[in-house]
Amino acid sequence: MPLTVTDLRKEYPTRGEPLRVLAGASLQLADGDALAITGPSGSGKSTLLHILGTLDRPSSGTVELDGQDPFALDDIALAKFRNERIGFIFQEHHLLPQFNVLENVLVPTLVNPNRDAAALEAHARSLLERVGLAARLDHRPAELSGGERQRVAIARALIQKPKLVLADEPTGNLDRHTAQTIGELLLELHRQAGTILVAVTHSQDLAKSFPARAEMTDGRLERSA
Amino acid sequence: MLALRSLPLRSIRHHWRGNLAVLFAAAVGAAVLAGALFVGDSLRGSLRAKSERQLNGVTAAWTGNRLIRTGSVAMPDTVPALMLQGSLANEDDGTTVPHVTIVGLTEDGFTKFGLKPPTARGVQAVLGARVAAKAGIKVGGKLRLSVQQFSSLPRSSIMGKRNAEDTTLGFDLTAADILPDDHAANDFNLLPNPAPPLNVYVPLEALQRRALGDNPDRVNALFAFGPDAGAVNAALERTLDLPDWGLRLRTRRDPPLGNKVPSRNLAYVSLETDRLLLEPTVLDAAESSAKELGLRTARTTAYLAIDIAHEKYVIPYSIVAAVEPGAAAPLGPFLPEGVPNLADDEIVLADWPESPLKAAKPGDTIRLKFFAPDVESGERTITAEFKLRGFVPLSGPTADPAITPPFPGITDKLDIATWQPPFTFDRTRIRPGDVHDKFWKDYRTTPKAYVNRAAGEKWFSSRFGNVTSIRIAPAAGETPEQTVAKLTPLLRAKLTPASGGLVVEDVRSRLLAASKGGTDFGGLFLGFSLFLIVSALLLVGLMFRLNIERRAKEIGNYLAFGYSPRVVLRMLVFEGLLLAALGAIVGVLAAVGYSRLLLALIADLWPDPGAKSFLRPHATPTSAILGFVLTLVMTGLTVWLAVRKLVRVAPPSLLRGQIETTEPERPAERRWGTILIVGCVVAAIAALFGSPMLPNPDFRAMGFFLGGALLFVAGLLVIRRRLTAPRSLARSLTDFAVRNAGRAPGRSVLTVLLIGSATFLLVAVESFRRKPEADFAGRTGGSGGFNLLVESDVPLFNRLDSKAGRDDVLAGLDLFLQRQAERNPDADKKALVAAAKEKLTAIRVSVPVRVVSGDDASCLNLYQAGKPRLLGVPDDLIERGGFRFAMTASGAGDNPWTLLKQPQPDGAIPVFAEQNTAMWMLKIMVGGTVEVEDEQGKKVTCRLVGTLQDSPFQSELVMADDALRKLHPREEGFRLNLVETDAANAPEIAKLLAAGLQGSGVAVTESRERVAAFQAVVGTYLTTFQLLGGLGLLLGILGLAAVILRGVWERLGEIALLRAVGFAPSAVRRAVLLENLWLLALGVALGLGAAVLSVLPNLALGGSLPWAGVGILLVGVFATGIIVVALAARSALRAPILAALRSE
Repeated sequence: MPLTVTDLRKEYPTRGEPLRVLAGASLQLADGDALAITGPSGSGKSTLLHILGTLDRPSSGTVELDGQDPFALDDIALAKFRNERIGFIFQEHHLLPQFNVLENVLVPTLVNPNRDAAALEAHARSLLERVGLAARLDHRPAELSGGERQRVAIARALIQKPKLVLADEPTGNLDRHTAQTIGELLLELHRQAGTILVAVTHSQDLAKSFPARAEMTDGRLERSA
Repeated sequence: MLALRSLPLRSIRHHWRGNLAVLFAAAVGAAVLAGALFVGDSLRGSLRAKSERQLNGVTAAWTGNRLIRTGSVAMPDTVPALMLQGSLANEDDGTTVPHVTIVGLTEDGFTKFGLKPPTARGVQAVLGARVAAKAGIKVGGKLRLSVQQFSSLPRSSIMGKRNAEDTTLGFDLTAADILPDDHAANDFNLLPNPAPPLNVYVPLEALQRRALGDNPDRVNALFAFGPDAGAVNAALERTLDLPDWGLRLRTRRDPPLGNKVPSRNLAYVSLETDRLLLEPTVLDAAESSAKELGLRTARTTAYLAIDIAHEKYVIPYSIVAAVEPGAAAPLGPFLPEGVPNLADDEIVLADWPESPLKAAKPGDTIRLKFFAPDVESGERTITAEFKLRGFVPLSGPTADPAITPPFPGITDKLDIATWQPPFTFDRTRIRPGDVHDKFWKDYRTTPKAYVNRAAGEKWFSSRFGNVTSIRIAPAAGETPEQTVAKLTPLLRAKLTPASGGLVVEDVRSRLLAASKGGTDFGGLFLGFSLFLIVSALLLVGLMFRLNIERRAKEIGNYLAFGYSPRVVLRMLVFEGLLLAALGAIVGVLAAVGYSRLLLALIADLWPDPGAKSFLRPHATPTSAILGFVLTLVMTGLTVWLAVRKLVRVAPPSLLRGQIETTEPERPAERRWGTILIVGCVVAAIAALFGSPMLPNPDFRAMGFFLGGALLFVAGLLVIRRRLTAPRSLARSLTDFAVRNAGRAPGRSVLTVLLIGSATFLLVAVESFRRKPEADFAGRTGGSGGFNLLVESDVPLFNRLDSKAGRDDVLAGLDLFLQRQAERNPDADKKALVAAAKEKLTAIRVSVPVRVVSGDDASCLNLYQAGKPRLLGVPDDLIERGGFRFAMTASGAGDNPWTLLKQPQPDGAIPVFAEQNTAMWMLKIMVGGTVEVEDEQGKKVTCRLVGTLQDSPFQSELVMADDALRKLHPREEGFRLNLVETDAANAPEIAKLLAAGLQGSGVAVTESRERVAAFQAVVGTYLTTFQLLGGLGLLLGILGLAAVILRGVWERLGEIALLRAVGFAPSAVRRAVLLENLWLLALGVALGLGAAVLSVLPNLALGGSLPWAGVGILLVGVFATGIIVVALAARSALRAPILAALRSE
């Protein structure tokens, strides 16, 4: 399977007993799969997502993407891996205020010195057209609505044609109508790109729109659909 | 097109508000750094400008105590001059100004100095502005000048005169003109010394007539305006003649002739000197010249014997000659018939019919009584015994009065009774018409006894030599005059000016080299400003870090996109460097103004007020570039240190806006922390209790400082631990506030460090401030027991604790009071002199010290001393010992002064120097060497065998007088006298000495005052350090302000929550105030506590602390802190509750 997670555990040291956040989460996903993970606050959903995205390291267990264990790589190789294979969409979009829409989408591509800048720019424009922001390319994030910012974040997550797209509460800060639109957009683009999509959400509406769902309980993942 | 390298620029532009603080901090750092370098530039530039100005265009110069003919060097742009040291008295009110330099110039010389030569009759002078001001004289005013009387004859020889009235001469002059304050001739000085010169310019001829007596056409200085030293030396070599050496080649006897020696013609040539004794250089030159011509020579010494005695029969006041007894005619022989030679202990007597010793037989003992050759410290007689070898008839070579060189006052007198000798002479021993008088009339100065050369060298040698003439036999068939004609050019060629110490020096180069400064002021001010620079750098780091912390999510983003931590760090550092570069440019420009302020500060604080007159701002491109580059490098490093850990924080935390992950301290870490704390405390106690045992006060101060610093570090570690320690339940608002202080421990500790270290430094450096120690006045204290220093322009020969010395003072006082009487006729002069005579007996000890002029090597001299002053101390001071030593070489025993008499394996001369002088000016330690020059200009190595502490000898090297006399035999008399008297009488004794020895240009200073002036230099440095440290403290408070404002901004939601749950605004304000004042108080308490503990031992040893100043400092710090915190707290309470809660 392109994405294989085996018995993932994560603990944090405290003054007393270690805090166990993940207690052996496992899953397997193929290209084109889309999984929504739900669960109560503090259940470890975001922790799982951060580990899948190599933003954090597990205490034990393995993650493999296309047969590669990213945690076996050194820092520079790991960063390259993340840059080329993984796209992130955060609840707070985290657009950089000093860049315009087009530039925000292109930021992840700058780190590769051998990139084809023209081709990448064309691809960014295409993505922004698909998310409906073709007319706002030179606008700054402060000039966009919440939904528009999240569209930019989606386009940014897809600019490098990643294998795996991770979305952490992608509609958490949006009103209901915008959230629905963004959810649909996300799934549509995922389908078109053939990526593996994993989203963490509190929204039951968003979760229901995903073909696969799982529940995070006491640090373990249980498939519900 | 967007590229990786453009990201930092975009960020800088976007976050410009926050970046302004970073820019400001970088600008401050650059201004301080470049400013310090500019201070160094200013000092060097000012000294250079001062040097150029004080030279008045002179490029090369010779000055010395040899007199040469005025026209010796006639080359363009070179002027002869007569330079004398003396004192000046205002005839109207009696005001006396010592240490005046009188320069006699030709008309050309006046023009070269930019002066108008006086044209009126009488001796007219152009006065420097300072002299006129000190003397209170106006144009047309009458002055009396007292200068040293020149004497070709060594004053320390039996033929020299040594009383004050013989060593000085005075004459009147009129002030024809007074220079404007800004005229360069006011500052004319060939030496790199700090004291502003007091110059008086007089027409050369007038000065020569008054000061040089019978031989007026002489000068002792040459100034070249443009030609280099080499050219002038070459010209001197070509034109210097025998009269410039004081030499003459005599072929005829001088009248009056003896009745029985009527011929004036000599059968030989006699090389003689007006200096009484021929110098070694001259002897070598004469003998080698004669050898080249194939001529025979004979060294001859004519000496005056008080008695030639056999049993009870005595011949008084006769000439004894040390000759080569067996020399062939016309140079000898001086042997009785049948006697082939004369042993070292044998004597031959002249056979004259009326001789009282005619009954003596060969083998009998003949006693010679004579004055010791060196009478500097007083006449002393020696009696030597010889075995009579026989008699020689008074004919031919043994009836030759010319063996004795002419001596005015003796050889030119018809009768012995009319002799006017400088030595003790009992006229009653020779009566007119008696046998001795008859001999004088018949044979004049013909010797009555002869010994060999070895005996002459043994008994008649002094440091000036032992040969009064070299007699040269003409070649066969040649007359003495023909011999002179051949000999003269050879002799001239061999008598190079350099061999006589007549070396024209490249004074401009020397002065400019010295103007580079003894102390690297640029480096010194960098050191003083170090804390300020570090504070600025910390502020840069803090501001940059605070900016970046606000962008934690942005950094998390980059890491999430796959930017490696290294790339992100590079971007951030590059951003920081760009800001640093901008700030550095602004700062370097600001440094120009900052350095001017610093310069004004130094000029104000410097103990020598003359510094203000020449210190001017300078700034070189090199310093500007260096300041820029150093700021860039240090700021870049600071930025890197500030953010390097940030990129290691897990991206999820960064994306949440968290920048610090506080993990609990592991047991091993805690253990090491405890060991470090205990170690610092133990080391601190050792330093604080051990330092009082160190004899060296500077090392003591360093020990106290180190102890305090270690206590500070221990305290800081404890504070860090306490801030993060688990606590019990917070039960009050105060508990709550104190708990909050540990919220961001890194920032809190940095704040405490900034404020605490500034407070510590400002207070603790007080222990370095020096004043004379409590035992200074004692024999083993810094003064050596001598409370007065008597310095004179004209050397004194009589000790001030001797009758002769007191008589000198009383004679001068009599003259002084006489002049005073003209203004104050009611004064009872006799009573005053009688009282003074009584008072002078309170001088317990007076030690004369020989002085060879040179560069002032004390820390008051901003110039680099290249040729330090030399002092020669007599054996009785060496035996007395005393003074305080910082360090000595091994083998000192109980009395370190004996080291000055211990020969060095390599022949170096052992010397002492003051500790600070050795370390900072000469840059040597005990065992190190320094080069000095002898009278001929030859380099001689001296080895430092001891350093003195708090002594008055801070401007010079101290050696045994024997050694100094060998280096400078013609430096006669003593220009420094160390006087011991009881403290109550000291001020009055000082006044009496100054008045009585006015003619010798005497200045009397208390040793305590002299040493305090030197120590004031350290005080200046400390005050500067403290002022700069105060600025650093201010920066620290600014940093605290930034941290507070930032902290409040970060916790808006938290503060809003407190208000939402019912905390009154005043309670919230109090909480914020308490939290930050707690940090401020911790910093000040830590710094002050550590500083006071470090200063306590020094206080116990008699030191002091400016408690008032410390109090003002604390009040200032707290007041500023309270204002800043109060403003921050007020701003926090303005945010609406709900908006603040929602944004959380």
